[in-house]
Amino acid sequence: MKTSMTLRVTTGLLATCAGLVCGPTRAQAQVAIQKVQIAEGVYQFISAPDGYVPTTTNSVVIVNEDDVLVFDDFARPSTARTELAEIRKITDKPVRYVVNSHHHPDHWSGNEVYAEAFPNLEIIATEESRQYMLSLAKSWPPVWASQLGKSQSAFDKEISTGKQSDGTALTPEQRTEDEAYVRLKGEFVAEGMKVKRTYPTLTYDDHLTLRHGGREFRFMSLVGDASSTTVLYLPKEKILITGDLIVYPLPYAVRKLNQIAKELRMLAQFDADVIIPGHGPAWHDKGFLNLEADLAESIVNQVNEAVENGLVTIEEIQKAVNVEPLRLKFTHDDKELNAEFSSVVSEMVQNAAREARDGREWKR
Amino acid sequence: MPRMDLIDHIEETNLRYNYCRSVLRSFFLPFVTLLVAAGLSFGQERQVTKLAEGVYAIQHKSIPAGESGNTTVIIGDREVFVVDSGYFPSVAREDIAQIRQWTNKPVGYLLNTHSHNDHNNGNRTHLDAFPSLAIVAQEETKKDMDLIQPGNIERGPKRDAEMIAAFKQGKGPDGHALSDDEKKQAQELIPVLENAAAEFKTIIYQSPTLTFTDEIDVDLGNREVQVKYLGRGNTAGDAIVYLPKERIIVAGDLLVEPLPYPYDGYPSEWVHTLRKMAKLDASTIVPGHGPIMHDMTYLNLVADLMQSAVDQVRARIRQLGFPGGLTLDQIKGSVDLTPFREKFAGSDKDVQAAFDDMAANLVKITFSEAAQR
Repeated sequence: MKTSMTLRVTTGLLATCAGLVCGPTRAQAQVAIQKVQIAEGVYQFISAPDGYVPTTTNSVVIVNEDDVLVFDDFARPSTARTELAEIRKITDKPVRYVVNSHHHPDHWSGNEVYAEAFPNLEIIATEESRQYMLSLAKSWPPVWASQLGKSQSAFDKEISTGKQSDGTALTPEQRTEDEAYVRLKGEFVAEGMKVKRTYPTLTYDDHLTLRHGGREFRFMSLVGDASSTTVLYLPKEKILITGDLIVYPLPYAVRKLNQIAKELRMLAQFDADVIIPGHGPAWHDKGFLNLEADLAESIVNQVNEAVENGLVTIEEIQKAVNVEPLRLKFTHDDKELNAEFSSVVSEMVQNAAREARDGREWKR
Repeated sequence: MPRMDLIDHIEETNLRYNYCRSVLRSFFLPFVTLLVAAGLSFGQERQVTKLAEGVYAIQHKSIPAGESGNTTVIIGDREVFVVDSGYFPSVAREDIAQIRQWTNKPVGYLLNTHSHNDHNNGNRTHLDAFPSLAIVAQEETKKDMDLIQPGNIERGPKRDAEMIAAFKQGKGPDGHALSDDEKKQAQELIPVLENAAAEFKTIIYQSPTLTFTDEIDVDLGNREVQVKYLGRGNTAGDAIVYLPKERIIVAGDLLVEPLPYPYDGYPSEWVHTLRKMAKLDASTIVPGHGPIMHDMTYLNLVADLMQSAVDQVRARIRQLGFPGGLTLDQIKGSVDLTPFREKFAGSDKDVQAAFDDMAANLVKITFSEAAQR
């Protein structure tokens, strides 16, 4: 969306959260969630944009014989609370397991809700994810406050000048949209400041298989958009839950593309009827999975060829890579998606070029 | 658990010897023969050792019908982690009663260190007591258990019945006529075997429910438990537990005292697994069977013994050629492990005999491992 794009790229003056985040009078709206039944006892919960990511976010609830497993629990505790209330409508069984696919905050900030409600809860993640959580989570609130300040400044500037950052006139519609965006972000940050970080209690390195409550859960550690992302496969139900290894409408995973492509191709071999990505709708075929693999593979191959042909600078390599044949399949010629596609591809090419140049995959 | 009133008088016998016999017996060797030949006796009483605040090791009472591996109990603020569930449901029940005296927290995890059933026949008893329990094992251990253990539950009572029948005919299981002294001991053994067989029939096989490949870490609530697969050894899937803060290792049957347990396994890899274990910062080691250790002396001795067996078998193979066409008889005469005999057995003849038997098996599985390459 143009709104988000404009305000997100702003690099204005630093500001505090005063007046926006900390304002005591601002009513905090809950993020809406939608329930989609995937299979018997398996539900996808889709949160509306929550001020952390501009897209929807998924959590998956799986009801077992005696208890419940929840895969990912959103960016805000309040969203997890809404989800828990919805679970209560489905079953009175306790939540025994929460899985955090990776350490990014939109996948584990609801842990406190489940840990508080269920003292017997186990939280599963890879050990690397847990380590990232332990080392990074404390640094997020000030970063968010800073980002929010920038967005607020950009918005204030729009109001005072009557113009958007690209110089065009600020329409009433755009103003309403931008205001809503900044408000949503403010609400997220206000809540994010107070998250009681609750860390995984059961971590693994490579593979973990849980046979429990009439189901088999196969957890595997893959790269995704964060190294050591947990992907969950339910062989009996033929369901694959990918975390942010797959994200709709455009991939989040822009580094280690060679590895990403291999992992996506590997997942395509799984006997799966349903694929639930980290963000976006559940898929009932492997079309989108393969499309993301095609994009990653195509970029890696073209970048490697460009480097072998003697191209050196990122600019030269960017020009040599052409993924236009894939563009429409992602964007359906939506104007804003087209712009984001170009931006994502540019980032992918840049990373792939570094990886090709260094002879190793680039770590963040 | 049957009360062994008849043979209480024998319990004063040196526990080490009992243990040797117990070890030898457990792997379907003609164990009763060994038992009878060595003089029937019963091993240690149940013994609980507090290793740290909230961490306990249980050495189970040893009876001739089957020796349970040690159990370790680790208590956190939220829940309890148990290592190994014993050979009999009654042993597991006793452990659970003990745990409930220590804490009202539920057992959240039960680890099976490896596939041998003297460490996991109590699984179902624990699961019944704690329905949300996860039974943890390395992936290969689950595979081995699923292959072997359901049959064991039927084979055990059958084996016991055959022995009882032989005793009643005045014979040992190998068919030799029992001496008067042996007959007396056999009479004492019959009810023990009958009770064991009866209890064995009540076992419901329970497979692990949570399997891992390399490592899992569990936070029990202010208590970190690391479960590590350091490589193959005693079996294809030996898991150990390491408590980094308390500096405790729970080794499973990678370490068994007073003699190692090479009746199965992968000696050349076992050495490496033990060397890796030795690098952990630990002041306490709970072996799979036997008393608690407080340094790496015994671990290093076992690793040295196995390294010696591996080196000697390989040296012989180099002389003779590809092992696929060789027989154990061509190998074993060239392997001499007697320099280790006294280090393990001291001057005791019984333990020395047990050492020789163990060493012969070590050579056998070392050759078998080499021949499969």
